[in-house]
Amino acid sequence: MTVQPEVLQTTSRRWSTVRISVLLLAACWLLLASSLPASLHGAGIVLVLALVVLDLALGVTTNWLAFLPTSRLDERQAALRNRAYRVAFRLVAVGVLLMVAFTIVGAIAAGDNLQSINAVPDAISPRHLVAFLELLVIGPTAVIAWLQDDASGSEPRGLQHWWSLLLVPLFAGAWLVAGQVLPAQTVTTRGSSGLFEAYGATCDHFATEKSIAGGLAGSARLKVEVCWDGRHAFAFGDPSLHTPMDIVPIPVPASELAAPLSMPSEPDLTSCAPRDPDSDFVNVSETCTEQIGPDGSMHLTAHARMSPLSGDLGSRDIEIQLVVSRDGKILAEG
Amino acid sequence: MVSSLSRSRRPMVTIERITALLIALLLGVFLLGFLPPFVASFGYLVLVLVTIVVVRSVPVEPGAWLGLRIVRRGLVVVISLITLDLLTFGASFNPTEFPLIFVLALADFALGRATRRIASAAIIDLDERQESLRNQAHRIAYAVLAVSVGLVLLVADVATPDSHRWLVDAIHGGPALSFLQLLFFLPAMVIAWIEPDRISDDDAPRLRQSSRARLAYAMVAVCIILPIVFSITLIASPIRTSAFTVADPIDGRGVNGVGIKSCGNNHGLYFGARKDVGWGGVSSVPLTAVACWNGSRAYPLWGMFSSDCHPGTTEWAFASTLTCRQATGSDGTLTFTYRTRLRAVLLPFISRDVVMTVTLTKDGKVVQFP
Repeated sequence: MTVQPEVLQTTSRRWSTVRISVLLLAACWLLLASSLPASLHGAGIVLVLALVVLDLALGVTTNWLAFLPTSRLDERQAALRNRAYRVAFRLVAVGVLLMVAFTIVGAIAAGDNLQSINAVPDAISPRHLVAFLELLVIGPTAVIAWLQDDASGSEPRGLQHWWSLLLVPLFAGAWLVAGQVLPAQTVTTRGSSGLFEAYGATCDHFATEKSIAGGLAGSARLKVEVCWDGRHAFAFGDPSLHTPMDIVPIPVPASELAAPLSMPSEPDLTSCAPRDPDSDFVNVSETCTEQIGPDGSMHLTAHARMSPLSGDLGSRDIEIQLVVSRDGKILAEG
Repeated sequence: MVSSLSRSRRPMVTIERITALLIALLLGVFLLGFLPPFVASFGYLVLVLVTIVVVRSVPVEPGAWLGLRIVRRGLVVVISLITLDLLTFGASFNPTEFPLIFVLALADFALGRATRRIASAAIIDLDERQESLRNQAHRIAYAVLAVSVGLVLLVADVATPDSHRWLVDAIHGGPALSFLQLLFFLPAMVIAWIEPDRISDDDAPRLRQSSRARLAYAMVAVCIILPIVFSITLIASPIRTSAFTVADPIDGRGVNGVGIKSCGNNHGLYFGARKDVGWGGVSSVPLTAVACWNGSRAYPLWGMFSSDCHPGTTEWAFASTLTCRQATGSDGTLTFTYRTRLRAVLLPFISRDVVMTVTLTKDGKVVQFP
């Protein structure tokens, strides 16, 4: 085979525009895949769009060699393509291992952050899902671009080759529309806590998550420790919900207490705040209100606003409801 | 070979070395987490890692059987079936699943031999034909990985709440092992599948049996035999029991830091016991409880209820509670029985029951313990 020297020759060390693009791609990917900062505060979509631009640029530069059928390649191109796939396969392994390491580091860095405890569990954050798919889709093309360099394969392209960049605003528009029209997907769990007990009442843990487009257009969540004693149901662990303390059973008469009873703050049990990854692609703000009905049932409502753009432009409101009767029955959830 | 001059220098930083470094770092963190209670498992994992390093340093040839394409393809089918079966494993493994993982590890070892480990060999160790075959295999493997993992991940994450829940379970269970299997062994599986039959001895000169090769085989044998030995000692070793009691135990929850008697005005006894089974991988069944008596009856205070019957650390064995029962008879005697079944992880047909018993009369006489 005579192509090998040519292929090897192309791996020159010159810092061409193509290689700088590959390095930029790697930098954007690392920022997306890492768990630091814990939240991108809505900037995740900017990163994704930058990645799409770089993907398309590299694709055009390499003539989409990675995706062409073998029948359309000459021997040199086929050898380069196969070699790139081998390197890209290893890159996927490195990328996955890095993501695991980043996750461990992120968990250590957020050591006292109680948002995740007892919440609806996420298999993979939207940010990491995008990073993994990006790695899979563009890995071989990026390697080909790096190996090919501008010495042999990346001759200047005419404007007609760059029409695919028009896909970027289309992609951004599709994401905005998806955030507006796709139905919110609801996942609920119950009883994942199991460790909390309150005097004179039975308690259980409820968690709900509503996400749009798998979290790529934001997620809202609610987790609450609900207690009931046959007369009332009430949320425990969040003073901001203003649970009336006269309905909370206590072992001695209230008049005998040295100080008025107050609701403790237990953010691992009850919280309306979004988790850090929920705000990666859109800004999410959330508030909760609790009402105790005349029949003793607890009505908890979380209002979330997802804002993909600044100034609430294109924002979408989502509501999560939980109604528990005074004997612990779920009357409404979701 | 035209490019031999360009290949003569082995680069310091390669993608394989970065992968190995990351694996070593993550395994290091994982192993350190293992260390405090699971000393034997920690030692065994270190042995496995050293064995992998030694085995990889020895050149291999597939031999007569593994040189046949049909045998190699059979091996790939077996590995694929186990990988698929792993998808059904939940986040909590059950006793029947570990032997399958053990078989998978052995099959991967055979796969390395069948393919001469060219999937992960340094480029300097390959000829042009092997390198071309390897690159082609990686391209096929990449397509399989992208579709089987990328697509499944995307669809499962966004499709329905049920698929989302499956993914949450999957990422901590068997499917994660399936993914790692594909990530690290899929190219070798493809090579084993597409490589033609070995037809000439010229291509495969007989390797000298060096002392390193003998060491590698010995270490592999030890890695295989050791877990079986650990499993057998579960029934072969005597149960080692340690037990003590404390009369009228003090509860630390007293006012102003002064402890109060657990049983109040009645008498009480603290029971502490542990039964260890096995050598190497030791499984412990502990008991800590307090029982009281008042002359008319004995009764349990804590540690004798169903929520208290938890096995301690178990290495190379699964523990399941068969009986956790306490009762006070008509004569006022308290009887507590805690029976646990320990089942070997790798040989699930090997099991042993460990029983803890407390019999306390109404006047505080310990008839049986533990």
